[in-house]
Amino acid sequence: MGRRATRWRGAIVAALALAGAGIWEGSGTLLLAATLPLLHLAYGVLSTAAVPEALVVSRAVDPTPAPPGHPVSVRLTVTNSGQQTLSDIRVVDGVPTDLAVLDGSPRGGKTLAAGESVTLEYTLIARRGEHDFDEPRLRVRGTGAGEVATATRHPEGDDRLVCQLDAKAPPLSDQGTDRVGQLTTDAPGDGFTFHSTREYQRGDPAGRIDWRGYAKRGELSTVNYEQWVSTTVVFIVDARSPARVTGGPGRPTAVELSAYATTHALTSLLDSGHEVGLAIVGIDGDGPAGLTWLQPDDGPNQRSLAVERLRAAADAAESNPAGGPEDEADTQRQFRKVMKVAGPRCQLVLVSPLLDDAPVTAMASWAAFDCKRTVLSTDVTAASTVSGQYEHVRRRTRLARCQASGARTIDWRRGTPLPLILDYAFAVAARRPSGSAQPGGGA
Amino acid sequence: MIGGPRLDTPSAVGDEGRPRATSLTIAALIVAAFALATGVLSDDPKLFSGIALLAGIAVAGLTLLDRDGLGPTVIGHFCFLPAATGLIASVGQVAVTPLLALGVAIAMVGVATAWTNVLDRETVLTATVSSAVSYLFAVVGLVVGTIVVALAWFCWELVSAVAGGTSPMAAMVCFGVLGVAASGCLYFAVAQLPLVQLTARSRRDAMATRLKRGTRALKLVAIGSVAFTVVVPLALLFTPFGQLVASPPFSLGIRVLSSWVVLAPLLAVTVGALVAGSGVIVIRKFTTEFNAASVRTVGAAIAAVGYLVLVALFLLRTGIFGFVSLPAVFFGALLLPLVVYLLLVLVIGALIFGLLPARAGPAALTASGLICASIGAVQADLPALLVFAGVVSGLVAWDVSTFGLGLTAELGHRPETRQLELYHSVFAVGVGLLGIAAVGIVDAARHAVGSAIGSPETMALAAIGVLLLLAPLRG
Repeated sequence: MGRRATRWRGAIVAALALAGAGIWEGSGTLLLAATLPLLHLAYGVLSTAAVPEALVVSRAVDPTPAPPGHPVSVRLTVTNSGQQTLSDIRVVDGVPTDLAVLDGSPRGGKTLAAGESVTLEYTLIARRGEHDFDEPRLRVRGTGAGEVATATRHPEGDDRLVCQLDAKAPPLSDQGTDRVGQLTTDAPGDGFTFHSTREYQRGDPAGRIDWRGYAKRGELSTVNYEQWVSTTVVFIVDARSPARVTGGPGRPTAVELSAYATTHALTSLLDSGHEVGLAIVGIDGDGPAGLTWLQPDDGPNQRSLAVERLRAAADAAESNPAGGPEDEADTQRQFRKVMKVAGPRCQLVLVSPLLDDAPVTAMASWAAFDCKRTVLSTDVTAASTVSGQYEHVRRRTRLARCQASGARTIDWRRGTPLPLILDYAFAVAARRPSGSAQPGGGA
Repeated sequence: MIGGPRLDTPSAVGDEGRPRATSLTIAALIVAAFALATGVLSDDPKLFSGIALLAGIAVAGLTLLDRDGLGPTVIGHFCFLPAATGLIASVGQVAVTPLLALGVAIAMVGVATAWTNVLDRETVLTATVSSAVSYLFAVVGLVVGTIVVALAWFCWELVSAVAGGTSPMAAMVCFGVLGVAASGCLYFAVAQLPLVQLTARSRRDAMATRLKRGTRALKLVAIGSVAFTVVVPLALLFTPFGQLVASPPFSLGIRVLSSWVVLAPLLAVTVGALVAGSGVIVIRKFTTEFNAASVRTVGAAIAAVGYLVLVALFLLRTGIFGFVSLPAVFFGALLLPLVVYLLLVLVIGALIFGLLPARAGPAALTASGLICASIGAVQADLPALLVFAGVVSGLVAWDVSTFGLGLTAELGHRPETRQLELYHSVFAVGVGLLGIAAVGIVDAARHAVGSAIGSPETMALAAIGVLLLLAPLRG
């Protein structure tokens, strides 16, 4: 049984007013008209409602597991498998409280004939963790909407959204063993992509002779290919308190997004045979100057260690959004220490939302070591508010300052797929002869 | 923004206007159908077209008065008060019983406020205060303007009388007073005009020095003029100087002083300086200290000027064509707005004390308007079926409107709810038609049987009995 909705109290007033006016005017018409509100009142009272057992509910969540910040589509279907028409059924899905709906609505209503379905489609923004959906609530009204019955039903299908940093980035062992070393150099050498030709020298392999040129000109020449070399890349993840912010309610923090980007990038680089190191600034670690530090190395074990540290950083940032007791001097010291522990021959990739000047200062100070530097900046500024736009302009200015210091800058804006960004950042996939490993780690 | 501000921005449509569009459309159609049917049965299908137009414009104005921008606020003022005043005047002018016209007007206002979602305490209060301020500005402006015009007319008459005259005393006094006024007004204008700020930066010091010298000179001229105005008449009265200036060649000088050649430039300088100085003050006031409150005040002031122009045009037209008496228009324009504000205060009171439900206020207004109109239809001796239709229209309008409200409250704005609303509306209208048919048959039977059974007294007893029986249900 449902509860009764009080919608017709005004009808009593209307009936009394009409009856009073009828008596005052001596009009039988008005007195008769006074019964009309009572008719509607009776119509409302006689209406009954109950949520039938014959309602079948199913839910599909795609994709799960999903990476942080990734849009996840949810589809909830309620089917009336009974024989009766439901004049008014309203459905509200139990969206996990930590997640925000990006598009669509988890609510809907319809008149359901026998065999018909109502489908709710909406999109969530994934945040790291396992998020359980509540059971959807179904509310049914009688024809006169005088009674309301509410119930929950356990849905078939998915009831959980799993969000992981390494989602869509399978373990290295799944990627094969085609490790070639993929960062290009200006010097020509062995490889796959054409670079130039030179005069033939005795002893050059027959496979590198330009036979077509020989047929045209009668001179032997040797083809040079772009040389791919292995290198050492150190990722510096900014997990300080200014980076522990989100672009809106229910969205992942900048630290989460940075951890996700780093996970994918290091997976791709490790797969390509490079050595990868990791430094996390802003989290109290056991490395030098309180840094969370992972020595550059290669192989699947290195990836596991790195992902574990990134998870710990994201956890720490989420559990303590305001930041720890570490002061600005500590984090500056950590930034300075990175270069000392990484060494001058490595490439540095700073992953930061650039919401303050500290990363820019660090980037400028690293310029003294003459190593390749890249800034991958996750955009968490909101464009819908004036203050958000102001922060966005300031962030763009910081990116420009990083660029002016000689660093390569990549702006990872919201909505742009991470693999695309990483492709651009490391220019790996386009140079591969076969697509065995993608820069986004298999995306 | 061709054609004025849009009404369908989120701030106007509000949180609940757009999503329950189907329910509101049905409610609006019901009200329109009842008004049309009443018009047709009263031999004038366009009977309520004027009321509908004015109700729509008045509610649009009420909506715009809740905006923060200057343009929408001013247009809101121009829409609201004239239309609301016209609506009240029209209710008394329509050729049916006042209760019927009033009921239809209330129902139309209810539908319009439901669309724009403005019948809440804050919005109505803001609009009332804002409109009342503009009305007060207009009244004060009218009084001040009348005084200024009278003063200007008096001065003009005085100067005209002196100009070209031969009285040395009048000429001297007039010249002196004009000198004081011109120098005083110039001093005022120079003090207010941003002359230094408008000068190139390189020449500002020189300009400031010149201005200092100029203002000192103006002070001296003013003091000199005052002295001239006081001393010269005394000299004329008590010394032989009077006879001296009456005879040539001094009389020629007196004639020159009282001629338009001298007086007109002095007058022009006085008026010009006064207008420039006052204009600068007004512009400065309107362009600095800019916030929402000042926008509302400025909007009210602009609207007040507009009202005065509107009333002046109306009076002019009335004066030319003479279709209504001038005092009636004048006092109508002055007093009818007070009735509008009285009604608004009553609405605010009803909202505060819960007589009008907070969210379902427009639906309640529509329903009560239609029931009120039904009672008026009985007074106008319109057919019983129209009376029943009016009552049912009110009930159906209430039903579909509150259903739509509940739908939005439960599901929010995004889901598509048209099917639910239409399904419910079909049943509501069906039950209403059944009710009309049933009561119509009873009414026909009542008339067929005769007065013994169907007399008002017996009907009243029956109705009270039914009410007592059904009262425990309480909706």
